[in-house]
Amino acid sequence: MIKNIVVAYRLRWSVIVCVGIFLNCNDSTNECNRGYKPSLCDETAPATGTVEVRVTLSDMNASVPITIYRGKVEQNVVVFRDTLTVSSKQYLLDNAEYSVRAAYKAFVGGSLVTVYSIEGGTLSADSKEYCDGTCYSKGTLVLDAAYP
Amino acid sequence: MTANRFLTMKRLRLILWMFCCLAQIAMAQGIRTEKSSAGVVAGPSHHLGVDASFNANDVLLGAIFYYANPFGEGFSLVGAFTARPYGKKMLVQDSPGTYLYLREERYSLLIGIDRQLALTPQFGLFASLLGGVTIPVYRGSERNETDAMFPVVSVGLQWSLPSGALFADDAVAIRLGGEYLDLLENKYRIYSSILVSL
Repeated sequence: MIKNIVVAYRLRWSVIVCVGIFLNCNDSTNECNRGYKPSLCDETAPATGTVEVRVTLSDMNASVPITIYRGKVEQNVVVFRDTLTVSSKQYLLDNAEYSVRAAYKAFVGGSLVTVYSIEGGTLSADSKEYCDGTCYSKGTLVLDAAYP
Repeated sequence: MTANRFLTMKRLRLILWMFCCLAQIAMAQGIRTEKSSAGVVAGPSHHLGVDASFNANDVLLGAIFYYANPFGEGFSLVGAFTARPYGKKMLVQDSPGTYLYLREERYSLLIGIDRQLALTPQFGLFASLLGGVTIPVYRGSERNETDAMFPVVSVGLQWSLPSGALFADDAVAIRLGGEYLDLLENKYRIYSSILVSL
């Protein structure tokens, strides 16, 4: 009898914990403490944003050729190519998933080889929730294709 | 189904939830740990815990489930889910003269056996042998070669705390030791875990 009570007690608590994990402990209170929209508020999500590409410049790689792809590199949908002579450059692009491939010359295991540094991510608008709505701004995606 | 889709946060949460469900099923079956005042187990029991495997270059975190003493005292069957949820830059050879420098997340599902040897009621030794599959996920790339990961060997010390020592009615075991993990690099690690009897 006591054993059954203990099992039921512990089962109840584990169910509560697991439901909490599954629902990600959503805040169900009605109170709003996020403030109200500022007067300058863009209520429409912008369709474009900034993609910042970072590379490593060195004596061996004074300029780094990069290729920007829409989606993954293997999908081979090239948006544009560029050659960077600065360590960071920004581009204005439509919101989407992007990948960058930067080509370096490097010594690996004593041999001169080509190293492709690949990085990816999704560019989307930034948003901030207020009690009376949502304000949007252009998003920024940093693609860090530095090597090493 | 691609590995990228498999590894969305929703699915990770679902895996956590499935671990919890397994624990609940075990309890509902009434297979209970017989705990003495020293926290020593006798008969089949279940343990759930979290573990970390790390060295100076890398960290893997996981959830681990033990079905203890199914065949005799001191042996356990083990299931584990291990993840490197952050991106770690890795150099991977693509072809002769060409390498890819990719940001890698890694997820593994492992099963195996575990042997515990009690030295005193509170302290003992453990040794685990696990194997399974490991899936890398690279940002910006579709490469996701699922690979076998075997062996995963960990040995070390176990400190068992009786019921009431940390939690009201659950025995706890803390493990600390070394681990060998058959990955491309970072093979030798420190292993630690905390287990709670269900």
